[in-house]
Amino acid sequence: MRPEQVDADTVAAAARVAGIPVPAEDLNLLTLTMRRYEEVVAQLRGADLGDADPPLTIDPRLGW
Amino acid sequence: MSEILDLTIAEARRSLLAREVSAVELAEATIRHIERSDGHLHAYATLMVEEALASARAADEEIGRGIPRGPLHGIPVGVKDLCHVRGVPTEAGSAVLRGFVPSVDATVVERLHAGGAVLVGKTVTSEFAFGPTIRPTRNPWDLDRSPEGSSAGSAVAVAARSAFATIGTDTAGSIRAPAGVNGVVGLKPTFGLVGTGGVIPMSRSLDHVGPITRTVEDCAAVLSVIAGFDSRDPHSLDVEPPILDLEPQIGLDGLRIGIERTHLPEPDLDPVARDAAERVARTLEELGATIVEVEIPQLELAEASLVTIKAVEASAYHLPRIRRDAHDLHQVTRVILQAGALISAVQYGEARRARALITQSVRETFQRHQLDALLGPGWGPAASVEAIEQAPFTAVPFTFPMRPSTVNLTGMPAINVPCGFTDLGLPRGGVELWGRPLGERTLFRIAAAYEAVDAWHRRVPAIAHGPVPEAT
Repeated sequence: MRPEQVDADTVAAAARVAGIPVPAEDLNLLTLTMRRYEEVVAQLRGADLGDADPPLTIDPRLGW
Repeated sequence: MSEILDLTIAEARRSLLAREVSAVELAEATIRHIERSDGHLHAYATLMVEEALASARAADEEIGRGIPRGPLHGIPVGVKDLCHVRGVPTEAGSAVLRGFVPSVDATVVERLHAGGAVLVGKTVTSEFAFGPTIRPTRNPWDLDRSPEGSSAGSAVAVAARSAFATIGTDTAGSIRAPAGVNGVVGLKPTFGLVGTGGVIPMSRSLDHVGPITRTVEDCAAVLSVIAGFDSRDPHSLDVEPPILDLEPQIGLDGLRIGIERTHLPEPDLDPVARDAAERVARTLEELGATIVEVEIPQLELAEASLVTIKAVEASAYHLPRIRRDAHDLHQVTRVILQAGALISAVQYGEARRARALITQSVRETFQRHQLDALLGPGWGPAASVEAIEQAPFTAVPFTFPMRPSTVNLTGMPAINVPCGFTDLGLPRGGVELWGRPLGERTLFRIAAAYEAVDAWHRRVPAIAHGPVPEAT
């Protein structure tokens, strides 16, 4: 989703699907936060991740 | 403030063994100092006076009988209020946990106890380490300045001489940022080297527990006590803790230290931080290190990867609280958790793939250039509290800055070391050194050599010695 497509109705609907209660006083701030999140991850969406695959367990020594 | 509070851990240890000072005297002086200054600094969430004095008496008795427990024996320390201490409240800066008293110690606390450390209190954290700091912790160099987060209380306590060392947690810079702006040393160890058992998590694949101290030698001493396998931590490394006794090596001949000037600094990095890193690079070169210019373009993906992983994992852990205790969470905390729950599984998967790519790129850079460490800018001087409070609040900031938090993705160790003061008398925010996994010893060697030249750790904030100043 592009940042400008994130609005209160979309966020409220997504929260209902996820089963997350969002009090009315939070909806505007959550919408702005999700818009900001979409701006941040746009970089990830456009990135060439090649064949990078996350390991199932995290061991910082692997590969060194 | 008593002069004994100005001793480093190593100096205090020598005085304890020589019976020039007792552990009870150290504990009493620390507690008196906290009681005098903490009404202004708010570094502590809970004081443990009776427990501290009992531990100190036991330490004196053991030292008198020649029973050594290591470098922290009889030394006053604090632990972040995310770490369980049996019989002492863990509230994590949140009304949700008000009055919660754990029945077990965190692994890091068990290790401190076993090492004879004297726990004087629990230090302030922002709510569950990502919400706002509800208790107004302040920077000891200027009470109108921010102490950063989330281990703010731990860093402030060490800088203000309200503890000889403290324990913090670092999911995206939360040991190193407050260490930097408060002018002390902060280490995020190799992922899995220090157990997280009994520590309230934020993001299990990014969380680290580590020390905050006044000197590099003290940092090595604390790590030697708290490192080791933790059966309660699924990510714990079953390895021998690295040998951490510092040899008296001043020169850095033969070491290769990378510097990343293109993709590591944030686009809006404070020029003070950038300049500080360049100055430190010159000093390290004069000490014999070879400075190698490197580029790691994938660092630009760190923010997206880290924000996604952190938010999703935090929401997954706190999901019952979003549903059951939402009204007791601060709105900022609540919205971060709500946001994490709305991020899709595909986005989380992509973020983990990016994490793998970033880790591979950093590793290949170290290997290609045969680096022993990477030098990067720190966090810049502390912002004013007023500026933070008046900034337009258009979205909940997940975390910032992000690129120093690359090490939370890769799991490699990173240390923040003091590197001087601004014209206003504020710490410059330190510089960062990243090492190879389990390369703490090399980081300590480099950081200690730098520290021996510039000795910024000897400067003491006025609040530690003189009258307590008033914040405006």
